[in-house]
Amino acid sequence: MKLPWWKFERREDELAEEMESHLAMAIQERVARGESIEKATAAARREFGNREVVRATTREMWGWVWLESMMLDFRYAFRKLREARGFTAVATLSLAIGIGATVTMYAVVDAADIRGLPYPHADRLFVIEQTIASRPNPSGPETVNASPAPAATTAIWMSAGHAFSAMSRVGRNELLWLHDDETELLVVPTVGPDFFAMLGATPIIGRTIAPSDTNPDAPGVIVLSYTLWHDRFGSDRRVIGQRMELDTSDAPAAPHETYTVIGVMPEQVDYPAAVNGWTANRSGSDTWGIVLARLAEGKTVDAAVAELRAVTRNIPPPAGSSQPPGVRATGLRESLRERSSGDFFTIDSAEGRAVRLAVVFFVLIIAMINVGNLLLARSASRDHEMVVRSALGASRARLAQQLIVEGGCIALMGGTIGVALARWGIGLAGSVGALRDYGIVPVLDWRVLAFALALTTIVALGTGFIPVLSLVRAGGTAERSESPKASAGRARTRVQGALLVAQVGAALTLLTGAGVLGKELLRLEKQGFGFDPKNVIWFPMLQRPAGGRSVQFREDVLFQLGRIPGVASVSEFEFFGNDGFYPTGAPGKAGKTIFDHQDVAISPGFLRNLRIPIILGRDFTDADYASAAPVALVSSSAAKLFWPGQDPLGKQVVVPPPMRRRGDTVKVEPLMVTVVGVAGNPRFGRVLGPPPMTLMRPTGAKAGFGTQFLVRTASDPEVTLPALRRELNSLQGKPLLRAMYGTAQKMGIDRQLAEEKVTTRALVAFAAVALLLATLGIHGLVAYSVAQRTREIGIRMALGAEPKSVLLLVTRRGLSLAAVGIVFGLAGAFALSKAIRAMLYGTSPTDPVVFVGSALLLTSVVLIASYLPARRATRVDPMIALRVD
Amino acid sequence: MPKKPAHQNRIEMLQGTLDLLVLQTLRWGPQHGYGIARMIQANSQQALQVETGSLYPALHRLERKKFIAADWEVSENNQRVRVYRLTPAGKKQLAAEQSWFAKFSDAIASMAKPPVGESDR
Repeated sequence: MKLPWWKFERREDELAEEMESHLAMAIQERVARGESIEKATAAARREFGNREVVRATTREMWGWVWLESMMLDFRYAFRKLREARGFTAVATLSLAIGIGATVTMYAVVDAADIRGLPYPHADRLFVIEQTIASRPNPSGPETVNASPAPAATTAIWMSAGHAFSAMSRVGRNELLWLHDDETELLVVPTVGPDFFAMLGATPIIGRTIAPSDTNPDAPGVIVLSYTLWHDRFGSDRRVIGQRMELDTSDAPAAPHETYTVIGVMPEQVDYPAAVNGWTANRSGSDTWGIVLARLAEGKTVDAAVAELRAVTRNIPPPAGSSQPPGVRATGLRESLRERSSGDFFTIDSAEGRAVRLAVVFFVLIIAMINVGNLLLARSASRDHEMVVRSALGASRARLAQQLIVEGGCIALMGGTIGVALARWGIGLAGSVGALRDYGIVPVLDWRVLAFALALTTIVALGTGFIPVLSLVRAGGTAERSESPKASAGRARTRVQGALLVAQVGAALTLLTGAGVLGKELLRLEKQGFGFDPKNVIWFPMLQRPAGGRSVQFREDVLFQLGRIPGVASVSEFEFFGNDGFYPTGAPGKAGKTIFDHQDVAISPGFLRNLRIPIILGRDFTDADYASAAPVALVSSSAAKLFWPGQDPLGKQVVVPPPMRRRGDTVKVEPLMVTVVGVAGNPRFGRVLGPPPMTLMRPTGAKAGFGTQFLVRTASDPEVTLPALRRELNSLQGKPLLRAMYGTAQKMGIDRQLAEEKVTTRALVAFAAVALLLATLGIHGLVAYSVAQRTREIGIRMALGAEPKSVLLLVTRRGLSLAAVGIVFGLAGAFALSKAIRAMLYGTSPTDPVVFVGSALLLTSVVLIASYLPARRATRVDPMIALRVD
Repeated sequence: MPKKPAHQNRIEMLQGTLDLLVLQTLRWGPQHGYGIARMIQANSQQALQVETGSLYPALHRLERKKFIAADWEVSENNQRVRVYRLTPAGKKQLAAEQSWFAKFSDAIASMAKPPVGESDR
């Protein structure tokens, strides 16, 4: 029977009472036999034996002595830690940062890669796409691209599929919601009636989409996502039946359509990702979409795909291909994890997350070593205590237990603060764009807390174990004839030396890593979008009136916007959709993915407006615009890739025809444009990653899509914004889109750099702590050596030793250890540079300035930390020194 | 703990047999520690002496193993005493220990008997 510790005192009293009653009965019996009270008492006591010993041996039977002693250890440890506040704060904080970062990263990994999807039997859910083999460049290799199947193909699949028990088309749908003088963009995919049943999702209130809702003339209905319901409707349960004015952005002069709210989905249902709700698929038209299917019980996915391939074979080859489309099925989880582009090693890939988890774990181990070393240094002052206790019969295990408890106390406090830090960090990680776009929402739930608890336990044991090392070694030599105190000191010196090397090495490694990441962050902030974003308001054209694709209309808008007081300059650009461009004769020079290419048309004054430099050649002239000349500007990144070491001016670029829409019958020939200038590297979207290749052409009669206006204001954009909104409202009949306006800085750079900032700041914090600990370590080592050798120094000084040689004597060990540490640290920095290479785009992971700078910084810190205590040694008065002891 | 020299006429307790004796004694009914010691002494015609330093650890050990259970009661002399009684698990344990002890004492007895007409092997 193990007693809980809180019954300890009562049990103790009971045992005493039991003993007393035994004695009392023995005395009574003797008295009854006729003995005198005194004699009886003395005899009974003698017979009973030593009461304390009887109690102690009995107590051991209770089986919780170890617990009692641990309670004592805890109380003792807390008292000791309260006495040394500075030490406790530094040790606790460094563990807290390490644990907090590791738990945060684990929460991200858990959300993305470990935790099951919130749908029952999610392993049987698949995304089905068609694959089309085509040649994007006439002489290039054939490529196979997966794309959403057209509605007709989907219909054939749905009627044929038996191995897939259910199938639903999820169409991309973005609607503008006009409310409270604002326009909000809602992501509300169109789905069929089977969609929710297939996911196994039931609404928290209301109903889901019924078959009658998908009739072409049915009134609009919407199922709200939990987030939208919570944020915009205040979680009002009476929301069912409420009306929302929604409007598609593309259709010219589309009337507002009234949608009725029919249901609200629980929080965990968020498919595909970051949606605001779901609407009924009423048209059956070819909007961009995917097909979600559930595999029937007992069927394999290969058999199901083969079944679909059989019926797809009869479909005529799509445009640009000679074969009928193929079929591809991807598991739901993999499809959610698929990256937008293959060349980034970012947090939205499983590998990227694994690397980050490894880095934070490495940092945590360093924090553990640091704290263990601090504990070790403290234990120096407690040699005497340990030796005395050992002599009194305390077992080595008992002493070790106490040291581990002390480490455990610090780890426990560090873990608690660490979880609080992780709570903050997880919120921050959840707002990182790359994660949100993939529906990865890290949360601090019981799984993550369990991980934090396990981690803290490991840290507690690990941290407490380091000072035990010196204890064990000391014990090992205790059998010899030397004094235990001396041998304990020597063992500790060895462990301490090793740890000092590790500390200096870790500090240098972290300093270098933080330096490289910090340099990259500064570069990214400076680079930004590749243009001067200050006072620039960037917004898309929402809707054109009928015939609004004309040059005239765009010029009118630019003219009207330019007249608003406070506007300095305006310009416009628009995207062309095509498979990418390439220099004449070298189609292989095209980028690997379409995302590497930016083919845009720019309005007059665009480069000046955005302050994008012209590096070579010239800007477009009025004549270019007037005659729609086949001329182009390329970004310097494209010029470097296309014509390395050559003059790009006068070279020609092939622009393949834009992607054809279904029903387009006119065959468009590829366009040839002549390069007249080389500009900087603007980025119209993603800040991270290698610079995209940009081809800029003059705006002309043939409009692209996605027209974007850029307004540079003379002063604070907020002042001009109201007037701009009014003007736009009258021009396009809608208020400015809420989600999209703002200065370029606000618009995305901060959000895109959030992860880089968090990582860099964490690394800087680690580096600062490591540097501080290394400084304390060296300072302590030298100061100890001075204190220990005061007498020797005194003798040497008395015999005429130079202060210089004395200085060398006491600092030699610290400096040589630091030198070894710096060598290890540089090796560690090179290893770390491999891990963080993935996060760098424009800074070398082994940037020489950062490497040399970090090493110099650390060396000077080591020198100062050694010199200050060593100076004391040179001021030793021989007379006083000889009197020590 | 230093061992007292064995009393001339008393047998020092063999390790492990104390548990058996305690369980055996409690078969007659609940009893407190002092009573158990007295009964063992009396039933063995004063031959077996139970040290308190062995008795109480044995009682608490048996209690932890749930072979016996303890309650506080008030004795005839108005004294609060801790009374132990046998549990069902203790009864089973007693049977097991009895058969073990029978074998053990047979073995000792056969070895301790002076050899009759037989040389050492």
